[in-house]
Amino acid sequence: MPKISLCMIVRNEEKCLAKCLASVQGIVEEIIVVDTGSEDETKRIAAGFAAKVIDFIWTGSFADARNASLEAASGDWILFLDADEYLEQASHEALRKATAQTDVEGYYIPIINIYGNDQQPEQCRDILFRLFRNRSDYRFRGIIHEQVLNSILEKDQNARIESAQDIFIYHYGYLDSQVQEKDKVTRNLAMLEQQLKDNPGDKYVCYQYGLELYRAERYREAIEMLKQALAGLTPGGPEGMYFPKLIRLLVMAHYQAGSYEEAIEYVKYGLSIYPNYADIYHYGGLCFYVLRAYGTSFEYFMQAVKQGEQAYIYGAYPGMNGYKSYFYMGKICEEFGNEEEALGYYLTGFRENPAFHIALEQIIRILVKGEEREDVRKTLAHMCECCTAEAKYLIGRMLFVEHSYQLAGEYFEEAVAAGLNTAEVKICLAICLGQQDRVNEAFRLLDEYVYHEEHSTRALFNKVVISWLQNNAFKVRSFTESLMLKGLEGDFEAIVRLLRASPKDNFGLVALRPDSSEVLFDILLRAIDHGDFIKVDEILARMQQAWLNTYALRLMQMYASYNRLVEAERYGYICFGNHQENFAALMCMGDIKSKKAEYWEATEYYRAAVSADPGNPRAYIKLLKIYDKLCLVTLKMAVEKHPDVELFKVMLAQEEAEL
Amino acid sequence: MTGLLSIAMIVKDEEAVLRDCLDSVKEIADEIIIVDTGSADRTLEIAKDYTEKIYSCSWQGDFSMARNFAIEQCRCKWVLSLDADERLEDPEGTLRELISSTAKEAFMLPLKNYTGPGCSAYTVIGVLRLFRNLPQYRYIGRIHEQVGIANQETVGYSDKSVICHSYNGYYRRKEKYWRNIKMLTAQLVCEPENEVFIKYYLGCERLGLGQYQQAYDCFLFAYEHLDKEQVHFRSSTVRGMVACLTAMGRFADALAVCMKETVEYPQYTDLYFDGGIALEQLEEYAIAARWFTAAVQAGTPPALYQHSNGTESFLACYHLGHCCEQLGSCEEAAQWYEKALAANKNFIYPIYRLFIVLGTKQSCEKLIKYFTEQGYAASEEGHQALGELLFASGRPDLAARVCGQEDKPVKASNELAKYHLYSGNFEQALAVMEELQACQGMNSAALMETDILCYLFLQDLNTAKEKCLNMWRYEPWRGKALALLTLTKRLGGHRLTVGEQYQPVLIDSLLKIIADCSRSYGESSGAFIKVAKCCTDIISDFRQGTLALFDYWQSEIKGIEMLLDLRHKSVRGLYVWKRPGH
Repeated sequence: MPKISLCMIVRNEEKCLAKCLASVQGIVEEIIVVDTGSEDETKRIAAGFAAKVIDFIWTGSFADARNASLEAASGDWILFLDADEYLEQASHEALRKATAQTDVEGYYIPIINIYGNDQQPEQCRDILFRLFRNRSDYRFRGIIHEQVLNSILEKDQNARIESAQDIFIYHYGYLDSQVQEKDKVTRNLAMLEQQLKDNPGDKYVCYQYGLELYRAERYREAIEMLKQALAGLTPGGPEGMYFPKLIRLLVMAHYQAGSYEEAIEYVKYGLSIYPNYADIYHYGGLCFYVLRAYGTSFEYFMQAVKQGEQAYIYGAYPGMNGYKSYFYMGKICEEFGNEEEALGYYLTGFRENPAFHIALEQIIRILVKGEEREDVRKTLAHMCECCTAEAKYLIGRMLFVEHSYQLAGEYFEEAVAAGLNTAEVKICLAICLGQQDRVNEAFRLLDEYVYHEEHSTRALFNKVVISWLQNNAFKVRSFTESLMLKGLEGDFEAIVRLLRASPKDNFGLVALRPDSSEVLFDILLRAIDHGDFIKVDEILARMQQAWLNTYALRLMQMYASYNRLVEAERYGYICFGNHQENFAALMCMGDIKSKKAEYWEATEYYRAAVSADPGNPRAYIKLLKIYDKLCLVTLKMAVEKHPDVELFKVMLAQEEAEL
Repeated sequence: MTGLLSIAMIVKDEEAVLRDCLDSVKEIADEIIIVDTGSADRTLEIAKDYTEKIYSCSWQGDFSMARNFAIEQCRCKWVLSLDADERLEDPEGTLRELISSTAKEAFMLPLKNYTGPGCSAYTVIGVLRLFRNLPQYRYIGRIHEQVGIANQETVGYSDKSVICHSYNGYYRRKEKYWRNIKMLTAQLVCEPENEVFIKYYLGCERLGLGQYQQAYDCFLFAYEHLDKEQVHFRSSTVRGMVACLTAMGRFADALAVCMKETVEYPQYTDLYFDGGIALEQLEEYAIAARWFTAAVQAGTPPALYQHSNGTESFLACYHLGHCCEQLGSCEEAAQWYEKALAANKNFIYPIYRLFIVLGTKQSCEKLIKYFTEQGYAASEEGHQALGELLFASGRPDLAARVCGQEDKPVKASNELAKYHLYSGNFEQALAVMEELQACQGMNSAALMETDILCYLFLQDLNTAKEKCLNMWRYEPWRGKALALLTLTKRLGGHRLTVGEQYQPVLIDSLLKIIADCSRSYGESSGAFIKVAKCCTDIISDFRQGTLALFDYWQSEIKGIEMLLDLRHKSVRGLYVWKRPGH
């Protein structure tokens, strides 16, 4: 049976090394660990696994260090792992089989990269050359992202190189926590720069350097580097292993740099070579989405979700042929005002990956807007049956953001009952209870935090708001006194004064900064949710005209969404006084006129909206709907004026059935 | 022989065109021979201003005979045979040089045959009109006579000088078709050996008259009997067949001919173009695009082929744009339209599509800037088109701006008045109309209508009423006047009974006003909405009117769907919902 030597280079890897070494127990005969200067427990841990530890003075080159480990290896095969990687237990058998092959010189092995944040990591599969015969000619080159394959192929151009698809290495070094810890990007960039100086024109180094530049969000430089990597390269050959990823990265870098047309060129090029590469379809869809060519965009996402299992060499990102593409299909439906269809796509995405929260946010936003509370409750219960306390809180939070306080409160209560005990959930719950006039319960929750170092202001302030909603001027006064004793920052003090003001108080008109304005809007929306439109009017009457001008659109939309059309219109006209061609304002005004059954006027506004932003389908859709209404009006008038004409009755019935 | 070049012409009643023709050759020719076959107008008088060598020859019903008579009078080394409705264009002045230093016996020159008004609709074909003055070179054939030269090697081609055949109006052309058919039929009896050629010419004449089946039969006969080497005639015959088949709606057959013959004549651009047209009709846009691309790639065909100007460039580009649009790639479509306009700014149709395609992405202001910078709207027609498009896009204010641009003298027109009117600039609208009235009087129904509408929008119902009554006095405008009067009355709260014979005009006129009102822009929207609502009120009093109104809304819906289709066709389901038919 051929012997396998595990080779690694390490430095200060005490946190991960044991996990790595444990994963190869019983499959490798020898462990060579080249240590480049650890100051922690690394070497001791290695020794604990009977590894041969070599101290190596760092030369600035990963290849040198790796080659030192090869020099010490005595097995027939070399398996290379990084300390932040481990071999899947189930792969041992496959590894045995692979090394038993007599005519293969080396293997590409699938690497599963785990990245993103630690709570919801994402996976991305890749494939790297990590297993090869131990021969003195086979040595690493390059300072970082060092390669050994070139030296094998130089020896024998026809050397048989395979990919071992049933061996899996997991790499978790790109988890956010790991990346932050090591500041990998900066380190890698510096090293790659050096490596490029040493090997100018090396395609693979260019690719790796481009990748790091992309990670560092230096997209323009990344593009230049990646173009160098691509120049003269062909899809076949040994470079074939990273060619598809190179194309995808070029697409992504152009996309991030805002060069969508160029990105699309690479999308087309990529698909001409790899017609089933879901990631490329997805990014193509994104480009067309930004360019607002929604039809084409939709086709691309559609293609993305049609693609099946992705080849290893694609290094496919998760969700590209599934939930992430469904998400954008939903977005496109919404661009056409079709929320029902959108909901379907968001649900498909969410079902595929329940950890994909953005989809759930959209679902909740749409549900809350369109459905009765009871239906929303049922739908949500149906969707997320087996929720943990955290999940309950999360959904509560999403409902809370959409001002659906009662439902949010129910979820927060369940979360608390299930053992979640944070200030955040309790204060949010208190707010929800306050909205439902369950004042005592709310206060009991808030009182826990009134003297809390961190949350005291927030707790106290919410007691003020709840008392204000209850018209309890006395309590408002007394709580605000305590608040003001703390010494409040100017804007916040102004808000507090707005809440405690009695009609005869006169303290000059108020203006607020953007962030404080958000706080005020939150209060206004709570008042509206509570049914206190007069309170809203009173507060707005104390705001400066300049502030009202700035927030006229927001106020118009706020009133319109609660069907207060007179107020909404008033702020609409303020809006148009400022800038006539505001698309959102024109659309909102069209909606208001439409609700008032002033269809002609509505068409005027929607037409102006088309003119203001001709690339946005929403205004066209609204016009279609208005013309449908006008057809209906025409037919109704016809039936009235010509009661003897049967045809009009038939047409009216038909039209009504359609709408 | 004395001198280098004689012009030989036969004329009859050519007073309208002769001067142009003679002006174009008087510098280049050493002598001009004019043979008159019986003019009754001022032809001879005009001719005398240019030459003394005027002969008279009684008409024998044979063009060759007359032409040969003219050639026999020539005394110079070379003869150029011209018709009175043709002009010679020799912009570089190289024609004399060409014939004084050549070993060739004759030259083919391009003949531009204008097929429509304007300067881009023409076909080009090489014709043998310039030859040495030798007794063996004589015309044969009673009509569509040709000079026979046995050895083709000795015939050269020059495209430096061009013969331009002027465009005849519809009736003049039609007259000529019938005359020619009569003569050709006679020729067929006397020269049965020339049946093939005669049939070809008969095909051409019948095609011109719109007798497609008969024309096709003629072409088919010629096609079946012509040798493949007779490129000149045979290629034209093929095009004639394709034109007939296309006109008869037999697109698949037309395509089959194109497919077969492009193999035979791969250089013949026009066949690729014709094939593309047939495919377009068959809604095979992807394949059609390939054929049009082939036409562009083939470029201008050799002189032997009769070639329609533009099939190698702007026409093909225009159709490529259309195909791309149908295929849902509107960015590409826009690029083709731009290419078409770059190739020929006088061909204005791409302006419409380009505007609409780009208009689904860019604001009207940006479009004006772009079109102006590119010079697409430089011509009078281009200007008007842009104005129309802006009005249709609901920006009459911009339409007015384009029509009254600073760099051009503001040309008062009814359109300009209308644009001002629907921008709410009533004063300016009235000013433009006053100017128009001063130079041409209130002599159009459209102008009167604009005038009346202006007073309606200004709510001056009395003036409007007076003007309606004034309009009523002109018999042909009575329907329109009545429509406007009804509207005026109804705005004042009164009903007017309308006789049945005027109902269709009334419905049409008021619908038109509704449509225009819905394109209005600016502060005065209240005034437009009031009038438009009143129009719907009147129209719906009539059964037919209600249906017409319903159709109008449906057409608006279709229009918007068309705009959305440009960029979002593959998600059509999101915005095209089933609507009841009617």
